Amino acid sequence: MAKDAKLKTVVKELEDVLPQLKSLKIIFTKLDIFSSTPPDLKEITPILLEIRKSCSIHKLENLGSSFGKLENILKSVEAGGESHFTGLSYALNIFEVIETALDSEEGLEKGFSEQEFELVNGIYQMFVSEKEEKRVLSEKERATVDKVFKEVTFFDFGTTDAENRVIIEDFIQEALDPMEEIEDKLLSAEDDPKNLDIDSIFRHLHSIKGTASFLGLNSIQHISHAGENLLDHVRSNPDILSQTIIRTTLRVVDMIRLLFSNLSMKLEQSKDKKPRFPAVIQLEPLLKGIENLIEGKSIQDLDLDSVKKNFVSDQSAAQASTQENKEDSIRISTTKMEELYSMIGELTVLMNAIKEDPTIHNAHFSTRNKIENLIRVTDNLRTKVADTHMLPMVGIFKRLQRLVMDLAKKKNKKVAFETVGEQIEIHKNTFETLSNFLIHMIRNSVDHGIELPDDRIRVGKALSGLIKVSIKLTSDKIILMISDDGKGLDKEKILKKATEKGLLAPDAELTDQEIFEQIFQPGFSTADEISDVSGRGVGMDVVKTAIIKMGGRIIIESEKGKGTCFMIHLPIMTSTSIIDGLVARIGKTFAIFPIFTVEHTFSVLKGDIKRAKDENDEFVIYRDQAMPIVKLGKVFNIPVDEIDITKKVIFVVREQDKPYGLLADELLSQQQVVVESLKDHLDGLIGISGGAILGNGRFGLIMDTKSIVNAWKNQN
Amino acid sequence: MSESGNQLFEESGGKLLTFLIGEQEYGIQILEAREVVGMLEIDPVPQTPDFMKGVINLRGKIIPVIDLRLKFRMEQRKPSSESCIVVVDIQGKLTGTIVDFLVGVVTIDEAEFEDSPDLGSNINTVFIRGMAKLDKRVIIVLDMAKILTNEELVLISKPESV
Repeated sequence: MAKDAKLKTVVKELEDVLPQLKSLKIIFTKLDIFSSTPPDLKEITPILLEIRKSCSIHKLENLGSSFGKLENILKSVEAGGESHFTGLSYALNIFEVIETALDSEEGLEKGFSEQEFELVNGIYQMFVSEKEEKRVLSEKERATVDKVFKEVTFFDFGTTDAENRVIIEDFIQEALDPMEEIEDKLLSAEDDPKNLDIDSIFRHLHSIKGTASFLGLNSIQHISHAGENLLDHVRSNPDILSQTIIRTTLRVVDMIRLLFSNLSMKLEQSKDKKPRFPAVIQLEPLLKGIENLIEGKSIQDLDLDSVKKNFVSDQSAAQASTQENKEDSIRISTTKMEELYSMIGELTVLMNAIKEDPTIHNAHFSTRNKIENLIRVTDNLRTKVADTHMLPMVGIFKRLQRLVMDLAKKKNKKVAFETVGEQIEIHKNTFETLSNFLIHMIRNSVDHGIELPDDRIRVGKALSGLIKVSIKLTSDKIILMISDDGKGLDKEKILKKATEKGLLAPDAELTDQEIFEQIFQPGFSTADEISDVSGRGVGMDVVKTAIIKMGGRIIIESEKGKGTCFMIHLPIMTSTSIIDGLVARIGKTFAIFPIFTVEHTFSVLKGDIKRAKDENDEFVIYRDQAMPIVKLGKVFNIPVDEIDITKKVIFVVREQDKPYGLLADELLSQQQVVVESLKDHLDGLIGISGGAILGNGRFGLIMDTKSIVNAWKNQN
Repeated sequence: MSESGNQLFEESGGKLLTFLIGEQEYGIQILEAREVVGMLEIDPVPQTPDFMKGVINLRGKIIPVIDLRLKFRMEQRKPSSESCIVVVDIQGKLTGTIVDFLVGVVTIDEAEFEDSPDLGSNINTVFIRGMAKLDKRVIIVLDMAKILTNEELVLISKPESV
């Protein structure tokens, strides 16, 4: 009882302070600590005064004194010292300590504890010593500073409400691999800087920056932006590429990692309300160092190493936090998942055999019943396992919706966003890539596609622009359409830019499609200035690379003044990889043509076959085009039936828009088959992409029509 | 004793699965044998060397099958009713080998095992772990890992030599 009463009084005392604290937080969140001019702190001073008054009335001495210190720092920032950045980070750290203390129930009960007050004092002392003495701290001082810093929370500006939390968690998970890749590339180039693969590092940094900017994670955005600047500078002046630059870029990676780990801790904290103490991160020395590098000044390695030292001591903390983050979802290695799938496949084949077994049909009722149950459970198991890899599109669409909203606001544009097909589920691998490049594309659409409201009215369009993303599934592919009703692609401008950048010969004659495709060239951008949103010319390059990697293609339609539409076709990825196939026979070998590769099948009449040179160079007329006959027996070097060609069958496939007639002995059936990789022992077969067990229990080779056509061309 | 001989006694305690190819008895380390199945329909795969007979469907799993007769440059023989396929497991990869007759499991004494004898430079003994004596039988102990990895099963660069 007594305790309750006490709690109430404390809370009551704090009641006057809490609303003030809230408005203070809002102001802090809006602050841009990276801006080059000192921030306007007029709003804050009266609030702080109010708070200190309340504290004094309620005898909350420690709290009052902490706010006093906060006020002192802010005053000195306002007066304009060496750097408002450092000052503000100290101020924000103090604020964060106070907020954390008061945010928890415990904090409300105890008020502001001695321990936290000590922390505030420690931070303040550091500020004073750095401000007044303006010198590099000695080893001993550094140690004290480190000790205090380790217990202090860094105030990152990212929003961490529940809605964003999931997105940020995803972002961190997704960024881990690219980060590792960047690091690997940098490390392997350390001995020989000239070998650095700048483009791909640049691309990854750009992606990270883009997402960070969209999520409002300013510090991550700034540091990756600085990294990008540095690499961009190196790209145009390859001579300056040195170990220092590589090491600096590595520091950028370290920094982003550390920011991520802080972010993870922060997310944890908002989940269970327990205070955690991520590391303090000082971006400024690194940002400054990069600036100096770009300006051509030499920088001291010592600076970088001291940053590095802090990182090492924080490694374990960072790792601990990633460990804890694994509670909600687990990452399973793909090998393990593949093993699971292959076992499920084996189980399915066995179950089918049991279903077909006549002795089972004649068995006792109770036996049959048990077996039927077993079959049902097996079927369920299979669907569930296959489901683990499927995700609904709504997840991506929600992210995009937010992106459009935020960007439009930033750019003073009005944009409506429509989606079609949010219930459609796609394979996890596709999902992740899709989400990444859609962010790039939508960003481009808002930034470059949609005009400002005034401009839209002037040309007679509705005030608000419209961006539409639709997805649909056909039997073999995903069709994605991203359209906007903006100003469209400007052919002349693209041509001019491409020629200027040397991506195109000045006298090249191109079709519309070819002109549009210039926007996928690395380094291409028609944007006249680089904004934090887009315009560096990496975005579309990333998109195209991702699509090609997935085996898809992208088509652009655009009309100047009317808008742009991107059509993307992607092959469907499924976990069990069941395909519809046409089964044919070549001599004794069974061949399976994936049905989507075959345009038509037919048998030829004797007179239809034309011979150009010899029997290896025959063709037929197919839809008014000369179509070469590709003899599969010859391509694979296997014996075929010695029967007349008119009794055989031709499978028409298209490669690079030209038809080819693949000749097999017999068309047997159409069936669904489970594709199996042959890579264990039979990797590298030309013209064969895998194998499958046919309905009759025999083995069929899955035809890779593209590589067959290539092999045939090489043979002739 | 050679390393591969040591391995035989350490891992399998000298237990062998033995079979005949022609008149000769061969053995493989028991741990390498996964199972033995009767002759199944073998479907040929193009672009592979002649000792690679094709693939079988083992309960829904696709497994390549080699013919040791052809691998050892012996005369080819039509499979008889005694022929069977020994499925071996080398580091998780399953491969079938056709043998003429399955003898069974024997245990050999370490003292009765000898490393592969030097049979002159024109005979390749790299596939052989050694020779084992058991009563009056002489068993050639094969090293399946060497047989299966020594030569690629796919002729990538020269499909015309199939």
